[in-house]
Amino acid sequence: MSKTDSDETYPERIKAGSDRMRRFFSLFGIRSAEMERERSEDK
Amino acid sequence: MYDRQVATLENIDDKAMRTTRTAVLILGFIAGALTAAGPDSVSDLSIVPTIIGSFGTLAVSGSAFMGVGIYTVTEYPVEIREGDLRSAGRAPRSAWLDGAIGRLDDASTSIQAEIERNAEYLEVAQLLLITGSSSLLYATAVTVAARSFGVSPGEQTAAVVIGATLMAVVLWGRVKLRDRKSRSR
Repeated sequence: MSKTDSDETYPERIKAGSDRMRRFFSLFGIRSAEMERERSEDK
Repeated sequence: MYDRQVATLENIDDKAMRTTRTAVLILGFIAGALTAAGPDSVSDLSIVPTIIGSFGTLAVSGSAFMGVGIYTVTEYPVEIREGDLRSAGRAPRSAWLDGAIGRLDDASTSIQAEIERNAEYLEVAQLLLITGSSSLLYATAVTVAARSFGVSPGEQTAAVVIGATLMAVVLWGRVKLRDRKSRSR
């Protein structure tokens, strides 16, 4: 069973929000070292 | 060692936040000035200050955007996880310590990469801020001088470009002369 938005705990929601913002900034080339490493591994 | 790295990363994020704050203040002043001066204020300006001012505004906006990006994307590696603490009582002390030291080493390596990356971004953000504010200052100075003394912004810009070129040539000549002198000694 998948988790709905209301099932998410507060820290999970905060993390999901941060990840969304990170993904947004990564569109403009601003990435953390960890994201860059994952990106180069995916290639 | 790891504490110092965390402090450095926090320091970079703090500087990024202050860069953003400064950029947003400048943008606020521009918006305020344009609102106070009325809708015809931009069309009354000549082409040179308009282009340079627009470039400056874009650069300052870019700096603000980058600043927000820097502290938003920062990820602090977790050196000890909740599961590690739970297993602390069960695993033998030496085995647990070995694992913890390994994880601390990994965290230290990944935070160093993060520091280097954020420092590069901060350099760009600050460069954009300084370029943007210089351009805005220049556009304002040129407009004020044009209205006060009647010298057109195009002539002023030509004079500045010629002056800057001459200064660069003189400085380059001095550096070359100093190099030659130090080599002959």
